[in-house]
Amino acid sequence: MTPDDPATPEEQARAARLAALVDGALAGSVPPPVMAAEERALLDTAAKIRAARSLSPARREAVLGTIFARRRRALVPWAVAAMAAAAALLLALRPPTRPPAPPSASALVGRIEGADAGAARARLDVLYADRLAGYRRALLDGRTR
Amino acid sequence: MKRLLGLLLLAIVSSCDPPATAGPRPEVLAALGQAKAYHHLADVYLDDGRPGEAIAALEKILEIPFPPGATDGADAVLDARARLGKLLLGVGRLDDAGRIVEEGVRGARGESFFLANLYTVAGELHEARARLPGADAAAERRRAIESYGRSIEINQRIQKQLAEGSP
Repeated sequence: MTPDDPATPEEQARAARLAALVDGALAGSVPPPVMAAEERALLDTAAKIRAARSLSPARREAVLGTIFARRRRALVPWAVAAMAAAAALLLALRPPTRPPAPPSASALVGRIEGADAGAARARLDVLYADRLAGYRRALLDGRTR
Repeated sequence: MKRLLGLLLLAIVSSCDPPATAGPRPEVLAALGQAKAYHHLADVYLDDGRPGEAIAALEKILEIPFPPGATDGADAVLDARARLGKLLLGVGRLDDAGRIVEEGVRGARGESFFLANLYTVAGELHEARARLPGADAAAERRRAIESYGRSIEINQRIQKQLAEGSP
């Protein structure tokens, strides 16, 4: 006879009796005064398992708090995505800003000393280089014809 | 999900770049390039001992059709007049120098360091005239003082504007 063999009628009857005892104990019934040692041990074990499953209020709150904290953490990426989408929408809908004007030629070359009165070529080189750089930037940004 | 987040954040960051300054009009840039070339051409002629051709090259700058309202063009022309005036003064053509400078001063629309510089050249011209034999030296020196005074005033005003943040 092996554990895989089907239960005999005697084993089935015994299992049914033990199940009734456990159900009665869990429902609060007083167990019979006389019980086989093995049956009493099984009943005690079932009672202990039942007691271990119940949680104190503090322990229950701690467990529930962990469960909900996990849920909150799971919502963080969605919240970040929603904020990012809202920010992107605001930026897309903002009115276009006019780019600032470049510095004037006077600001670029500064005050001209008397000794440099005739040095127009050098000053124009500076002015042209600045404006060419600005033109290239505008071209790359697609802001010029 | 992570990819979407990354794309959204990239879009936000790229929108936050500070705006670059407005680019110049191509026609203004082309005209400035022309003026630059004439200046360099004048240098070559001067190095070659050909001041007459250098003067002719600088006079071409005054004929460049800068777009109306282009302040860069106006400043470049004023500066070309200053250089031309000095060059003409250097070769003894004071009347031509005076005409070039006077035209520039009379036609100036706004104040700039370039206009102040042109007044400085005007002052030098009047000083040179004051030294000519038979000239009304006192009157020429008075005109020189007025020109230098105007140059100083304009320079002070422009420096004040720039210090206050005006372009």
